[in-house]
Amino acid sequence: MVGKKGYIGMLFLLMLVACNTTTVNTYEEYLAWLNDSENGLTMDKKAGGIIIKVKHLPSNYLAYQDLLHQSQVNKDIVDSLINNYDKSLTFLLNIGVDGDIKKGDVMYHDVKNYEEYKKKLYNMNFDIEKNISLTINEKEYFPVLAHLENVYGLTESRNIMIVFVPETENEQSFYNAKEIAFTYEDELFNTGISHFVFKRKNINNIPSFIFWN
Amino acid sequence: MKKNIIITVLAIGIVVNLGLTIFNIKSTKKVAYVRSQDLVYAFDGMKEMQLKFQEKSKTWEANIDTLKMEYQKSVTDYQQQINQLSVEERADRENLLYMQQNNLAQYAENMKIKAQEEENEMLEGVLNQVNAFVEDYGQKNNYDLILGTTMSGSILYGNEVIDITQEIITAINNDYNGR
Repeated sequence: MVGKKGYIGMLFLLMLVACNTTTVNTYEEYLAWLNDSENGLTMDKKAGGIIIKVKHLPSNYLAYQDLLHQSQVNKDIVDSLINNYDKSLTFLLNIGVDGDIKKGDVMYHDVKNYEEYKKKLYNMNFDIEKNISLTINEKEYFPVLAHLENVYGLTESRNIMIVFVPETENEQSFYNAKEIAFTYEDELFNTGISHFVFKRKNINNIPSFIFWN
Repeated sequence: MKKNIIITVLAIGIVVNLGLTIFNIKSTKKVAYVRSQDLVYAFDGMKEMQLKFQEKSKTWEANIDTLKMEYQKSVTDYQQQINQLSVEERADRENLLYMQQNNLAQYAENMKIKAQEEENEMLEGVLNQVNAFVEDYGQKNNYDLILGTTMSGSILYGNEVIDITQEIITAINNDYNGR
């Protein structure tokens, strides 16, 4: 016969099995999870000595980044921020040289003269959104924000944060579709067209994060 | 005594045989070849690039057609009004038409060069993708050498058994489409 404790144990086990979402306690653990390509939120492709990485930035990550600058943190603020970021999809595009082949700042990769460098710089700062799109259920979305991070020459790769929103609030497929295809049509580094397909089940599997102890 | 000698000889034989087998395995290189042209043209990245290029070409051609029509209209207008124009006015209009024709020719030539440059850049991107994928595929599947047959290449014969074109096409397209 299974006793009361046994039933509670079984129920707990069932809950663990039924609930895919894990919880992590530290920011480092969270980042490690996010950066592990096995979890399907970070992908990369290599071509011509260049490596292109795309990472989906979850709402709780973005909320955490905002909270770093706030003196007071409480559940309402956290929920409000997460709720706000849940309305959009944010990605981080990283372009760098493939360390196995070459070293050096990606901005100088295959640059023959100042004009080419200027073109690259201008495109990455002001035009890159024209080369990026998201396809969800055969509908194409273009970024509402594409921001190149200023690295002051401290890193050899470049980060571009990209945000997409649905055209209307009722577009449920934007939030529910099984696959989200991120496309980067490279016109600067000769890497061709790259597709990165994110699975909704992986996005839904993001660990919940303990914001404060 | 005789039995011991037989066992020792057998044991030595087994050890030598095993050593030779290991040596053979290690010295057998895994080699395959790919029909490069077939791979490139069956690659979904190439097909998508060609479609994008065709779309761009249509836009450029449409721009040239618009300029041609404008020039043609200017010529027709001039021919209709020629009898009402003074000698100086005719010279001015002819000069303008000449400039318009030159500009049109220059624009068409520039577009042709731009199209060629852009096609080359796009092709380079596709080839970089294919090369990087084949390198990665070779490493992951323990190939020592993957040869590529080309129209002007030096591979004159390859047994079909080591032709991995189709499996690479399947793998590269799966990777390209994120499957």
